[in-house]
Amino acid sequence: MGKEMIRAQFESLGVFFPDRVVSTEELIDRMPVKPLFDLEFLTGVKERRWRSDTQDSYTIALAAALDCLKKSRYRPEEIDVLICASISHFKGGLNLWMKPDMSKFLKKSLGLRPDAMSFCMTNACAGMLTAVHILNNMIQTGAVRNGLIVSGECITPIADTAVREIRETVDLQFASLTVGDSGVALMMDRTEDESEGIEFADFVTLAEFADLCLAMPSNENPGLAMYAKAVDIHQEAILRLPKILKFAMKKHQFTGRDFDYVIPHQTSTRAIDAALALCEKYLQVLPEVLISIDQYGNTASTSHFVVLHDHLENKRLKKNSKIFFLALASGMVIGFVAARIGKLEACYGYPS
Amino acid sequence: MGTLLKASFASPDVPPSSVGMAAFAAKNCLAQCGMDAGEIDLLINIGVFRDDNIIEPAMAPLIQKQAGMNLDPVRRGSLEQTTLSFDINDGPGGFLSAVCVAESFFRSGRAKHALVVGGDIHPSRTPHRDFPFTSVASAALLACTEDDGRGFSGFHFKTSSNGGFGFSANVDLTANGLISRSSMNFDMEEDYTDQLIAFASEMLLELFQSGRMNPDHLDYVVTSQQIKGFGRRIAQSVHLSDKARVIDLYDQYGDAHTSSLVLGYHHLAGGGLLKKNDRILFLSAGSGLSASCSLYTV
Repeated sequence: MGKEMIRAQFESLGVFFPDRVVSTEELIDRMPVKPLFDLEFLTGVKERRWRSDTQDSYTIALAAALDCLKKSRYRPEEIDVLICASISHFKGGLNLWMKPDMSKFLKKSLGLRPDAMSFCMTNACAGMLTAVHILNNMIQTGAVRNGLIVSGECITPIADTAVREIRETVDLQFASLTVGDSGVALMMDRTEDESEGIEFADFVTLAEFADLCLAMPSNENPGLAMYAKAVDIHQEAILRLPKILKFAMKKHQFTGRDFDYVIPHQTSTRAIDAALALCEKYLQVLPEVLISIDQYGNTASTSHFVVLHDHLENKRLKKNSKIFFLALASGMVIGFVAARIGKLEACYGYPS
Repeated sequence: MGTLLKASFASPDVPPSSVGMAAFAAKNCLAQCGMDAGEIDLLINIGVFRDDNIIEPAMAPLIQKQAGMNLDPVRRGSLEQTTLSFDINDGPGGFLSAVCVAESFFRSGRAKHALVVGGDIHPSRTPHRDFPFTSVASAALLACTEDDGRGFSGFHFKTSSNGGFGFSANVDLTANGLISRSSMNFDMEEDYTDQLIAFASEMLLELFQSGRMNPDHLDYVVTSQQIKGFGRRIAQSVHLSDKARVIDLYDQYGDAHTSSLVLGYHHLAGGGLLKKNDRILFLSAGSGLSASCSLYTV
C-alpha cells in the first residue's frame, strides 16, 4: 500500500451478549442421544450465551450498535454507511427476514441520515471480516469517510435443532452444539497515523468446498439447522491454509514477528491448534493466540471481535497491539486482516 | 478511473434454482466477451430469494462453484489469481450497492474484474403463485477504466426515515414449521408502489434541484419495475419524459426484482441501442422505503 493512500482504522467497538449462560454440560443433558465423545474437551467450549425469547438478530445487533456508538466519537447522523454482516437475520422471534434487509431496520432505529448507504453483506463466519475488507476499500478510496459494521448473531436455534435431531454418534449437526449468540458493532474511519489501522486484508473463496456446510430451515422440526461435514472442512482447510498464508506473507511482506497476537475464527481449540501449528513453520514465530471459545463458543461472524472485546475489556493486551485476524468460514473462505488497534485500546480505557 | 459495464446477460429461461440461474447467467455473460471465469476477482451475488432459504454459506460461493471460477487455486498452484465471493442483500438496489463496492476494489487496485449476479426464485424452486417476482437471471461484468469520463458516477442512496417499510418478505420458522424450507410470506401495503414512486421521484428532484445531477444530460432511464409504467411515472413526475427514453420491460418480464437494472441495461446493450457517451440513469426503489441511483456514461 502506498503512503499516499488513506488508511482506515477501527474507531470503536461495541458488543452485546444475552444474559443467559448455557453450559455444554447442560446442553448435552438435554440431548436424547448423547455423543460418545467429550464435546467440551474436544472443542474447548465450556459455555455460551443464549438468547431469550424476546431477543433475535435485530435486537442483538441494535444493542451492540448502541454500545458502539456510546464509545464512538461519531453521532448516528455522521455515519456514511451501515453494513449488516450477520449470517442470521431473525426479527420478531424465529422469523427469517429477507426483505427489507436487516440494515434498513437498523438504519432507521439508530437514526442514521436518510442518505447514508446501507446494505446487508453475508459471507458466513467471515462476514464481519469481509465487511472490514469492503469498508477498508471504501474508506481508502474516499467512497465514504466512515462506516459502521454490525452483526447480531442469533445462531443458537441451530443448537436447539441439533439437540432435538442428533440421533447418531456421527452426525452432521454436531458442530451446531458449539455455537453461541452475540452482537458486535465496529465503527471504522480514516486515520492520518500511518502505523495505526488496517495494514492489509486479503481473502480467497475456495468454492470447491462451498457445499460442505449448509444452514437452512430444518425439515424435521420447526427451526433452523446446520449440516456441516466438519472433518472434511478441517482437512481441506488445513491442507490449504499454510500455502495461502505463505503466499500472503510474500505478497504483504510479513512474518509472525510483525504481530503481537493472532485471533483465529473460534471453531474448536483442537482445530485451531492444528491449523496454527501448521502455519507456525511459515510464520517463523507464532504470535500469542487469543481464544475466548471457552466462554462464548463459536459466535459465527462476530467471533474475532468477541475475542478482541474480551481481551480489551480485561486489559489483557499489550499497548498498541498489532493483530493478525484469521478468517476461516463456510464457502470455503480463508482470509487475513492485519491491523494495529491503538484507537480501540483508547476506547477501552487503556492509558494513552 | 471509472467502472465500466463490460458485458451483460439477462434471461427468464433459466434452471429452477437460484444458484443454477445465477451460474447460468455468469457463464453466458463471460462468454459474450470471451473472458475466462478464472479472471474474476470478485463475485457478488445480489439475489435475495433463494433455494431452500439457505442462510449459510453465502450463495455466492455456491454460484462460484457451479460457474467454475477459481475453485481450488491452491491445488491448481495459482494463488496469483483467486476469487472472493460474497452476497449483498439490498433488494433491487443490490446492483448499485454492488457496483459501489466493486468500484472501491478497483480504485484501491485490489480487483480488476467483478461479476455481479442476480435473480430470485421462490424457495420451493417452483413457480409459486404467491411469489411476486419473475425469475430472471442476470449477470453484469464490471471492469475498471482509466477514462474518467466513462462509467458510473454519483451514487446516491436514500431511505425514508418515517412510516412503514411498504413491502416485507419473511418466513416464521415456528409458524411455518416443517415447510419453512420451501415457504416465504409476502406482505405489501396497499399503496406501496405509489409510495415508492413518490419517494424515488422526491430523491431525483432533490438531486436535480441541488445540481448534483443534470436532467438535461440523460439519454435513458433504467429502473426497477415493480409495476408496469413504474419508471415512466417517476420520469413524468420529475419532468424527464421528454428528455430521456424510459426502458419499461414489465410487459415481457414482470418484476425481475434484483435483476431489474441489469435486465434494462442488457436490453439496451444487447439491442445495439447504445452509442459512446450515451448517459443512462440507473434508478432502483424498494422496501425500506429506499431508493438509489447512479449515472452511467457509455
